[in-house]
Amino acid sequence: MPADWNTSNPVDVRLTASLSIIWALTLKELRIESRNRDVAVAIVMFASLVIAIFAIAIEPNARTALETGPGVLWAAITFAGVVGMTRATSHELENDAVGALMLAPVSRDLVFIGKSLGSFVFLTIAMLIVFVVFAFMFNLSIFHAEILLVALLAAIGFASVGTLFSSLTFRVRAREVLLPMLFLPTVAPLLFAAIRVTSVSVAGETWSASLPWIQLAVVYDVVFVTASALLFGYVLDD
Amino acid sequence: MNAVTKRFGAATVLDKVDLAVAAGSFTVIRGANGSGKSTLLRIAATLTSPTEGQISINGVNALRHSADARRKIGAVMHSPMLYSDLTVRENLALFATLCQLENPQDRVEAVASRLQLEARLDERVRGLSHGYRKRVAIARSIIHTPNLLLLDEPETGLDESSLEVMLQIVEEWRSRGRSVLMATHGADFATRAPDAAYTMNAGRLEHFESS
Repeated sequence: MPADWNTSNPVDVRLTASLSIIWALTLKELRIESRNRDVAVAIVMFASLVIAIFAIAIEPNARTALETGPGVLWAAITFAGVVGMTRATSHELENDAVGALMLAPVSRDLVFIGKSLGSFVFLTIAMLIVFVVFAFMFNLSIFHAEILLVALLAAIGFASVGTLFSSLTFRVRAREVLLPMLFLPTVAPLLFAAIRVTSVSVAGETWSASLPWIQLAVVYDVVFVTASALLFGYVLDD
Repeated sequence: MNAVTKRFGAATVLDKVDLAVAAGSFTVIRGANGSGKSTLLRIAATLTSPTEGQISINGVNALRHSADARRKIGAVMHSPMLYSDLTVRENLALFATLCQLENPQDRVEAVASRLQLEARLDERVRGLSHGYRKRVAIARSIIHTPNLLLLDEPETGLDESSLEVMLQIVEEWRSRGRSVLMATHGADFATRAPDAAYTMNAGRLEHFESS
């Protein structure tokens, strides 16, 4: 055994500490949600309701389902995501609980990652349930690999941009209005990518037709996750 | 704190405030509501940035290295800053983990015992009275044994026994060479022999008395 076998590498120690902080923050989000279930329930109920209303209004057949279904699905998920984020923000504002995170001697980046990961988990679970509701209402098979991939990319983007904008609106009285006004235009490229991938995939086209839109979603996530992480610290410190 | 000014729009809440809190001292700031005491403490706790001025905690520039400065600060503000849907234990353990303390559960048990919260550890914060929430907030503020304890009107909502526990903690902090900076609008704490007392008046800090 080498002499320095047991010597902790400072980089490893920092990484382990950072991961334990991120895990603690994610666990906090999951615990609160598991006890309330209001964020995931708000997303699923709102999205399902929107899909149901459109399904009743359109009475989709094989052609109209293909034409309108992807747009309805992603519009429902996006608007429901805003409702979920507003609920999630309320947990942070009650008792000014977010202040505990601000008082903690940790980098704001880690707080951002922990909170975003929690939102990502809720969004992903809610999306899967909404997909089932949509597949039933529109009679479309959407559990394709490329759709699941773009959904995962959308959840990453929505969670990180949503975490940033939720924090930005913590101290704003009209946050229920401001949050969608900031969030929806910002996630528009991701929304277009998700709609296009879903459209070409349910139409039976090959992966290559989806690829440019998946690439757009990847680029979006890289740019916006990085920008959100960098801006989060400034936003949290008023 | 050196020439700290805070403006909200046209309103100047703090006006070139200089304040030095000596190690092992108990400093009290008195003042009416809206005089700027809470803003001063929020700035000291790195929760709010000053418009102008410098802050250092044990030689650490709190504006440039705020995470390092926060390691040396414990704070109890007006609101308890606790997650209502987590238990007392979970709230304290979360903060202990964020502070990267070794054996966070042991630290939780220790501070809970200090604040007589053992019986409440597994209760959700939502079900606690205002006084107990305040105790949990105090427990959180000392869990990482900070050098500087910031208390913003801590007496609000506390009963006699809770107040006594808090005063013991203040004494303990002072005797161990750590510092306490307290804002209050009552006269109670000003008569508890602080090492320095100031009055905050319309954003300006005036020396009140010194023992």
